[in-house]
Amino acid sequence: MRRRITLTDAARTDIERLGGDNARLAVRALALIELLEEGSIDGVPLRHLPSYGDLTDCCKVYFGATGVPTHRLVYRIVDVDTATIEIIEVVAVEQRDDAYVYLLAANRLARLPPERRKSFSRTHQSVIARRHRQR
Amino acid sequence: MLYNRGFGGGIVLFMSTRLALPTEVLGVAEVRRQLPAIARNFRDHADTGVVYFGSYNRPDAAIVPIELLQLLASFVEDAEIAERVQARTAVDTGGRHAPSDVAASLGIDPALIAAEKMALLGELER
Repeated sequence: MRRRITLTDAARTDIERLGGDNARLAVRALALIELLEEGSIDGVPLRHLPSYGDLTDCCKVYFGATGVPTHRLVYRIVDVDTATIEIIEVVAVEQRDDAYVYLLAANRLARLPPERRKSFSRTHQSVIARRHRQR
Repeated sequence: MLYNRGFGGGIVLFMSTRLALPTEVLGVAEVRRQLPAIARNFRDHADTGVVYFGSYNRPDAAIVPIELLQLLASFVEDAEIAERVQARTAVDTGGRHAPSDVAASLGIDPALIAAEKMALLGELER
């Protein structure tokens, strides 16, 4: 089955920002996307968890600037056309700490449970603060 | 729940839960008269609540211990940030980009991506 992959505006911004942190991360994220598109790799399906909502149509792939998987890419299978082409959208590309990328993906897909929004905002702020400290 | 606390001879009623709605409202003149004592009480008693005052027994304003105000400010800030974050992160602008277009717009050489693909595949095989 062939795949066609696109990136949302937010995912494109994620990659641009990753490149600001570490240029190799951005290159690797795009390399990973190409490998997905070619069918050389597959992601691991996500589940429906109370902490971030229903992401059962999404998959994750790990990667990092070196061999250590420090980041995750979450993509959504948008459509499968009669088993010939799979249409995929990259939703979020982020660091793996605090399950942040799942919260981010769920929020971007408007699936984050309302009671988790506060916790997501806190995590989001702490990630931003940590990023500033690292710079 | 209310409790009494003296201020230089006068009596002011305070809420025992620090932010409960006012059931007792001081008159403006009384607040003016007791202001130094209220400030002293805030300073001396960490658990002091808000003092409401206004005309005709209607709460128009309140005097808030600085420590409580700082606490509240952090919550207000959190709420404002949460709203901004929600608005910024939840909106799908509808734009979609091909990976090659993203690479080109970020000035990433396709040869670099090809090299990283090989490296990633090698890492996955290990």
